[in-house]
Amino acid sequence: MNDLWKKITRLSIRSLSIIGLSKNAGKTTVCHALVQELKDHLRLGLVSIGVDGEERDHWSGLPKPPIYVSTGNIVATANTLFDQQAGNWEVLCHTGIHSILGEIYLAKAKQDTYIKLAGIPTLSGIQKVLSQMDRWGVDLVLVDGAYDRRVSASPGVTDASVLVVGASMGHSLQKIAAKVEETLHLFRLPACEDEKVHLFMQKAIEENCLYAKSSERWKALSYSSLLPMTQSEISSLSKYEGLIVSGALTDHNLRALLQKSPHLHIYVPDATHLFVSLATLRQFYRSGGKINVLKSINLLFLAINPVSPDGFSFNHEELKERLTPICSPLPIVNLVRE
Amino acid sequence: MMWIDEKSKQDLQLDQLLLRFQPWTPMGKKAKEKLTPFLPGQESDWQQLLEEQEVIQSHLVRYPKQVAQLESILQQIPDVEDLILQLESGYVPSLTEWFQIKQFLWYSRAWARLLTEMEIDNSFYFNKVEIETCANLLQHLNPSHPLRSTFSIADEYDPALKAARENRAHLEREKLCERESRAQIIEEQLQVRRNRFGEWIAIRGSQQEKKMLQINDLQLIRETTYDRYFELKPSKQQEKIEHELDQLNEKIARLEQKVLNQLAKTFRSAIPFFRYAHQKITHFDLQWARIRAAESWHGSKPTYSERHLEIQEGFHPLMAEKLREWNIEFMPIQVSIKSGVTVIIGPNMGGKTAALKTIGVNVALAQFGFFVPAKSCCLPLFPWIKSIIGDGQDWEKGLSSFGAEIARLTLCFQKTGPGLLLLDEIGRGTNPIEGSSISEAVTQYLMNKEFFSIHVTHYREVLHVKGVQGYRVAGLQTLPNYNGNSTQEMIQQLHKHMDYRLLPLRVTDTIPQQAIRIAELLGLPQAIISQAKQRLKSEVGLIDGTETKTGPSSD
Repeated sequence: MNDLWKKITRLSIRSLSIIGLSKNAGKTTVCHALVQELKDHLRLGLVSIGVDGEERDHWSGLPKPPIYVSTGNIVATANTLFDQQAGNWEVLCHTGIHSILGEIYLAKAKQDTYIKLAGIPTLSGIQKVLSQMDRWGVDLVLVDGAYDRRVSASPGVTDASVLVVGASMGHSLQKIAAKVEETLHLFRLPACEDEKVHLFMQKAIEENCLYAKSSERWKALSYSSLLPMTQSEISSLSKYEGLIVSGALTDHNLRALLQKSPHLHIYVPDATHLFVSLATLRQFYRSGGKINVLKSINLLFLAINPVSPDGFSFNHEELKERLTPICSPLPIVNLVRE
Repeated sequence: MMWIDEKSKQDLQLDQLLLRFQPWTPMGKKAKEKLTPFLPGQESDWQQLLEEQEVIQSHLVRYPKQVAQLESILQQIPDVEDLILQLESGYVPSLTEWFQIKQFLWYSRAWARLLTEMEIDNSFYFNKVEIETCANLLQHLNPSHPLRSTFSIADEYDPALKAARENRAHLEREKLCERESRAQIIEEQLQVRRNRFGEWIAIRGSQQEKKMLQINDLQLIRETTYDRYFELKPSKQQEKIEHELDQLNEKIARLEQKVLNQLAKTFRSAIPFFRYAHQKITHFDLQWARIRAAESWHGSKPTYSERHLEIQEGFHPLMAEKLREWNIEFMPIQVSIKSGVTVIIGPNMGGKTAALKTIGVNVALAQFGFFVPAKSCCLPLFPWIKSIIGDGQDWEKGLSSFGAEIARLTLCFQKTGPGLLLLDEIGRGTNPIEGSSISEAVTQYLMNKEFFSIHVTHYREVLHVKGVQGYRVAGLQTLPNYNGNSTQEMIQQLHKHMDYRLLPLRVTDTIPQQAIRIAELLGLPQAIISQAKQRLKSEVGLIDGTETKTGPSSD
């Protein structure tokens, strides 16, 4: 962790998303630790993605914590939140993006403080904020990704990600290990380097349709995505050699494809488009199928939090030991202990 | 009274055309929604507005490099109208609201500077005094050098605030040092380092836990099944500092609020400047947006004429563009219309409705302050404009369409003053004998009104009305041969052969009768065509291809 800033600089990482694998995984603590680790070396920006805004988390009922901000950090949050501590901020610009709590502004902290981050509801909003942060000289933006908004880990949004695994995910080590394994498998899917596939993925996105390959030729299909297709329509896709899906690929879709034991090679833009379980995926592989992403996700480390807000906790060493073979060589860090 | 109703706007495709009228500022966008036409009595204001556009346009052409900057500046000026209104009623703006006010001043100044650079007369923006006022107000929101676009409650606003903040920073450092020295002692004692959050963690039941529990300076803050977390107890010294910090923070918050209150007081006296700047920016923004819109139809400046509506080479931009897609050129129209009824007569597909829409759109755009789609256009300012124009689909609705048309026409008759009334084929929704009678009677009735009425028809009976002025569509001079083309191709052929010019009607003029031939070319079965020719022959004693001699009755 001590040399994290060097790694970030070396890899030219300009934005880093913090992804929780469950509610109350401990993202805020990770964010706090990252600010402390990096503040003396990099000009930091902080932003949150999601449709939040309530005082309390609607799922756990716990108060939403403010985020620690160090002097000179640039924060994107709602105007009303800056106004509540008027003396602490230098307002830099407005964004035209609206959150539940008001319009999102960018401001620089005049002293160390804590502030709540109002979630930016859209991907285009996050991209706009990232480019504005860049204009204001931010070296690295920490993107607090809301639970189930894995989209902020998309390589199209942030350059790298930190995965946060907390005891709040479940009281069984086995369950946690399985979830981590599944996520890591998807995040580590190999990136396809075939230029042709990249070209047709671009076309699929622009034309909003699926592309399929037969006899070495790619052609556009009349479907915009797998979502509106019936089971039998999806299973009929098994006749192709390749399939480019620019939208989501679900477990349901994959099971439909399995009905005709395909030798299909599926391409998705990145792992955030995959909503599939490891079990189905393994079955798909066994039947001869393959899945590739076009861009892989750059995971920096896995942060573990053995304590759940409901009072339950794992033994820190035991949790780490259980996850090490699954994660290796990805570093596992307990930011509270290390 | 409404100047133009929704149905007439639809007929003329006015809203569709005004989509090209896009101001950049939020104020301009708001003003666009409340756009009102120039009315009789406002002739000189109207002409001045148009002349201004001429002037601005000439500068924009001379300074193309500045145009992109000007666009970006206007897009960034925030709308502070509501905020200024609140300020006037005693409200003190918040931090981000002061930022908005500063942005308004910042970009207003940049806008004025750019217009100076473009040598635009300062009557369009600020004079020297106003530029100075803007600079002074900016200074108030930027008490220290250099001038920045950002805003914060800077130390320079109040020496007492500066001193209090410095004191707070000093106390915080002192608190940190005091904690750090105590923490280091404990770290030595325990041989355990704190985590990054300043906590010591001990495994339950371990020796470390026992030691930590025995240290007076430590307190247990939380525990899990496996671990216990300790942190420093606040010392007397620390409690004292905390107490001082609390008091200091309260004092700082009061002083910060005082700064904002003082700013509000200062800015309240500058409200007239904000109103003036708001109005000037909005006006410029709308003018430039009008220029850009009119450039898309190569508009020319309309001029005032007390008695005549005269259009040279007028066209409807949307219809012309549509025709261009089919490789057909829109034939510009040329008309001179005075008070009373003007009849435009001609064959089906002869472009009569297009002519009517062209006249309507030229008048509407002119009165909304735009350059018009014509080589030249002079007009009086009409107190109202109304159209009754159907489309092909209305014909199929038969009686319901006829009923709606008559209902709208009846409403028109209640209007007074020299408004512009555009009528398309009154009576066409019913049988031809009654239709032509209605058409003629309506024309006769309108002769007694002070309206400028234009009636498009193919019923030549309207020409019998005494005093009526007239135009005829030149029509098909040569008829294309039918050689089995598709209907679509045939329509295109007809468009190519049709002479859409409007020619003034003279007593000796003849009206071509080409409907049966057109129907034949479009593929109506030969049996029907023969029947129709026979009937026409027996009814009027004329054969296909001959012409009916007619013309407007002389006064």
